[in-house]
Amino acid sequence: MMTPRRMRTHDPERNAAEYVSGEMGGRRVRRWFNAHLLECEDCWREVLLGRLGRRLATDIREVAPSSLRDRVRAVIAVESRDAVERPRRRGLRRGRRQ
Amino acid sequence: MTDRDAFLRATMGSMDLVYNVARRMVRAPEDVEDLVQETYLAAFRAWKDHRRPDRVEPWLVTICLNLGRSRYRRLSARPREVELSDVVQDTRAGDQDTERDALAAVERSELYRAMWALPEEQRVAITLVDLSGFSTADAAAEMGTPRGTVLSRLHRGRRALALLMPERAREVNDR
Repeated sequence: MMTPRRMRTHDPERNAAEYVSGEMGGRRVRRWFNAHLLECEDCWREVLLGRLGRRLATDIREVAPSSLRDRVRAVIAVESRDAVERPRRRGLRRGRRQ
Repeated sequence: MTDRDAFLRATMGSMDLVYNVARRMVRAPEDVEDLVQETYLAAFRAWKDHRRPDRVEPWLVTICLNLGRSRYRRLSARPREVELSDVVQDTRAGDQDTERDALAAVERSELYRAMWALPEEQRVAITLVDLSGFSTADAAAEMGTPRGTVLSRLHRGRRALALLMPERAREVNDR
């Protein structure tokens, strides 16, 4: 099989990272790599480890506590009120000085 | 609609993602919640200047990551006070009764420990690409490094994570 020019460097780490991220560009390159995986034990192992690592990284997604949502809403409410009152207070101070 | 309403409507749906990013930037649960709050506050203050309503999530992730990096460095500079995060996590999960939940909690706890054993650059690369859905090109721009470096950090991080979980890595070795 012809090796696409971009894939001539045998770099299991980079190839596995792109492949597992779904970013291996071009149908020809992907086809070449799929065939290469059948022959190359190093690349195959890196792809399996990469896939497992990616799955583990996303397995521990959690839902934010509802108390945190309330807390954020409260902080934004205070900030938004302060933002309205700040210029008003500044105006008062300026008025007093005159 | 007020600025506040528009902001909350656009950003509150991303709270879970921001929370999970924060979980990977600082360890103690109280620090995680503080970081999420700081992120939303900083985002609200910059809301008027944010002109990309279609890019709210990456924007929030970037703010959280930047605040988290400086906070993490500050926290790592002072001596570790507690290993409380793991304890709190396990206790929280222990409230749920079923065996399956308990096993999931143990595994989650181990996964966090493995995640925290990674160097910061690898953890950030994984957080951006695998958790937040950034492309490696966007992650490279965010991290200020060439894409090749991100690919390498990403893969080394994924591999280390897999190998740090021996039970799960056996799936690979057995093939």
